[in-house]
Amino acid sequence: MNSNEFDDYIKNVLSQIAFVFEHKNIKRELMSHLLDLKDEYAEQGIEESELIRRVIEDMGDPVVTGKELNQIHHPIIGWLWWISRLVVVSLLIYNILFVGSKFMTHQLANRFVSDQDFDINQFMSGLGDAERIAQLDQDLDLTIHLNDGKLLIDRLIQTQDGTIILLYQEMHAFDLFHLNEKVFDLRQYAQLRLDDEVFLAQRDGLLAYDHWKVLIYQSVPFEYNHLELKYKQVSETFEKVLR
Amino acid sequence: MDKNYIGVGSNLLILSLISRKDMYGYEIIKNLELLSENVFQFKEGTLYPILHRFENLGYVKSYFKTAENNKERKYYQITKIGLKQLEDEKAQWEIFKASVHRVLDTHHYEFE
Repeated sequence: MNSNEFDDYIKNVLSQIAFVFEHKNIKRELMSHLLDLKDEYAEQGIEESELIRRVIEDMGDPVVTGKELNQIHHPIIGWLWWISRLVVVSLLIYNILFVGSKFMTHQLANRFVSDQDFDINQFMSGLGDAERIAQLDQDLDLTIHLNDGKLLIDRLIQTQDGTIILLYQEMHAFDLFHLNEKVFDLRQYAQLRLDDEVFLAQRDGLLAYDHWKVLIYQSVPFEYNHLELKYKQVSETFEKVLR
Repeated sequence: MDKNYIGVGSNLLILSLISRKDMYGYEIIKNLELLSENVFQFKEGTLYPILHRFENLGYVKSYFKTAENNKERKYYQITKIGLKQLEDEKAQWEIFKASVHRVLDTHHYEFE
């Protein structure tokens, strides 16, 4: 077709120009000139087949033109600008990857650790010196809604020697990656109420197990009717019946 | 015409044209031909490097404009810097012209 030869001409010119960011504009300018020349010769009555040849001839050697244009559209400034963009993009990608990987780990932990994976013995041995045998191991699956997220009380374990262990997860909006760990301190302020008695959590010892956080209440009675978790601190309050 | 002469005045000619009216490449070539009565015939390949260099130097500013018949053209407009350059080029041309004439017209030579 007609435009093919014009495209070839322009391609030959552009092939000499290193600064690719000007290619589009140069193509537009040259193409409009080629078309204007074609119209001029067409008006003079020149034959269709001869038209293209005349126009291309008039334009001169594309390689020479391209080389001269290349001198003007200096690559160095072009590449400097291009490199600075590359730096910005790299920083963006790095941020996405860095943030993304933490997010992925969080998701993976939730997905792959199931109840079957939970090794009660291993967990128990992590609790300390005293021999503890689980008397009760119960899935609770309770959700407590917080101002900015939720608590998932997954499991309750009661041992023979009168210890209650709660395994839970915290999820805070805008803090999915747990960057702000100190915000919510269950250990300090969460009370366990068994019937009429109130117990506070152990401040040290095992704090986390796998992806769970751990609340340990010591010296609790074996028998009770009512078990409740209560938290009251500044703007956050909840009372949840566990059993 | 000897191409060397063209080289001397080409900046001057092109800037002069653009200073009177915004023009696109094809238009510049045609006007040069008309005004010089075909003495000045620029090859397209020579013109565009000059125009792009002008833009780099800040003598002109370009913009695309689409005509009624859907034809798109890249127009060049002279800038303040370009006008200053045009004045400089005109002055240089006057000196050149005068010097040529002096050599041609002087019949009395020092070294004889």
